[in-house]
Amino acid sequence: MFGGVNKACVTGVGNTEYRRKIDRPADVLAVEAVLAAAADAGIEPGEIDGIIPYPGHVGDDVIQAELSLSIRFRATIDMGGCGAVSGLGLASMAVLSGAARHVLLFRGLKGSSGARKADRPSFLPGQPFRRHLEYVYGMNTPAQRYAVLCQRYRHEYGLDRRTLGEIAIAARAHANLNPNAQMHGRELTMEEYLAGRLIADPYTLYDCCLETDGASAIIVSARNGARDIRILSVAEAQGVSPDDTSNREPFMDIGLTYAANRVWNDLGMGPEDMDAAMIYDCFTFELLHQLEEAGFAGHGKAAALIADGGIRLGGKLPVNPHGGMLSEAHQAGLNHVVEAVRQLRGECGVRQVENARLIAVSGWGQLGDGSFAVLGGRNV
Amino acid sequence: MFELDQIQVPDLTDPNFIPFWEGTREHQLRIQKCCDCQMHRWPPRITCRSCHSTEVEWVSVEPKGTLFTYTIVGRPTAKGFSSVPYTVGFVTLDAVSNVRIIGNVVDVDPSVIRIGMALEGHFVTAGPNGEMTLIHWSPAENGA
Ligand SMILES: [Zn+2]
Repeated sequence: MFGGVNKACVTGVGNTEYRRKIDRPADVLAVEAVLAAAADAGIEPGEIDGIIPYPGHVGDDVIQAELSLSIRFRATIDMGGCGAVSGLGLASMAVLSGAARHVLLFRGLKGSSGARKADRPSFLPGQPFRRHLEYVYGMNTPAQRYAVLCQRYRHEYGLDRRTLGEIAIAARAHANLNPNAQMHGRELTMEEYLAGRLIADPYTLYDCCLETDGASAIIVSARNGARDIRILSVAEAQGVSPDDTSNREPFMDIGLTYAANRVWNDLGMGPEDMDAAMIYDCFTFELLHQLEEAGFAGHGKAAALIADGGIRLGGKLPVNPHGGMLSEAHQAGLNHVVEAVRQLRGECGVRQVENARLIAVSGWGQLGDGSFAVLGGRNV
Repeated sequence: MFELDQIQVPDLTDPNFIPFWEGTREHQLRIQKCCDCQMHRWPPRITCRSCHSTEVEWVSVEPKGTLFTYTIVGRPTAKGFSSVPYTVGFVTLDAVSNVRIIGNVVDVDPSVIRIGMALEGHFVTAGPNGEMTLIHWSPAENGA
């Protein structure tokens, strides 16, 4: 379907400010972002007739009640941070089939001022494995869970801490071109990076994404107007044994490996055709890992792409010019979609990727679920 | 180093884990083995991922292996683990090379932990009333 002539489009994007602490509650923030997205799409909020919320956070019922929506299509994607990009596929199917005209995806999060990650309810699959085999050994956070992937990669391919440092510093440099980024105005040097306090070796403070108070929203429509950004292809997949990483074989296998391949095959395009990439950067290494699994670099080769400004604006493949989750905001990946749309419209000012026509976006959630999309601007 | 009596005890009556916890209490590491295709598997599952048989037996294996990967936790996040750093490792069993067991790596300075090092499991009583027996891994006596 996604390879056919008719494409759904992202027609509206919106977000609140992103800060470490915002006094307004998450539902108020979500309403603000949704109204902004509707205004951006040039529709009345009441025209929204499809809704895909983020499980465990501000619910679809709240938005439906607040904005008096008549919802014809409702679905939940239980793939954690993967859902932002997976949702582009589901929303496309909904609007192309006629199930709905305008599908809303939104996030309203109090990630920073709410409970600490380890104290929040877990939505991970395989809960018995977590409780019987991991928590009893003091392993209960994403940082710890993904650090073991990074450690193994280091063993197999070698990995300089400075490569991870450049990922964090590039994100920060981009955030400093983005006034709404949570870390705007806060420079990060390699010296500071290397002195970061240990979280879960090899991850230190600066390898970990932000926690954010804020909200974001996008609207997907069966419309192809002048500012609308086409969803050219979307795929989602999971790694082998999606409920367990400890005995996954191959160990580095993730959903993106399969999802990206399907998108490239669907479009007859490859990584070299992309003008930029928005990569789900929950941790520095996961950005590197995904660059390789999506084919932007060979296995063990991403460090060369990352070196010498390769993933910065003006580099070979600008990655996350908004600052990503490492330095703009944690919106469970939806801010990556928002940024891709604004870049393809040419709205990004000093952080604009020159002549951006095609942008790849990745999603990551749970224990390596992956999603991948290519969005296209007007002149594609 | 760990507050073993404060570690949260999972539901020990979960049928999928009863043979495992009974095993550790008897200082045995027991994992699953498919009765039909003889494939060992871990973590415990209802179905053999190789042949889809649901006939399963639990077998004792020697708690010896090599470190496959690990992390050194620097910020406390779990009850019973307030003292940092501590190490969580994934250990590939010598006897069953397709099975990895998660556990704490102890008796070794974190700075000298290396992937591939030989480890031996030993059994440690934990939980507020000593309800469960965990497996900790130390460098093997004749280790690499
Ligand atoms: Zn079998």
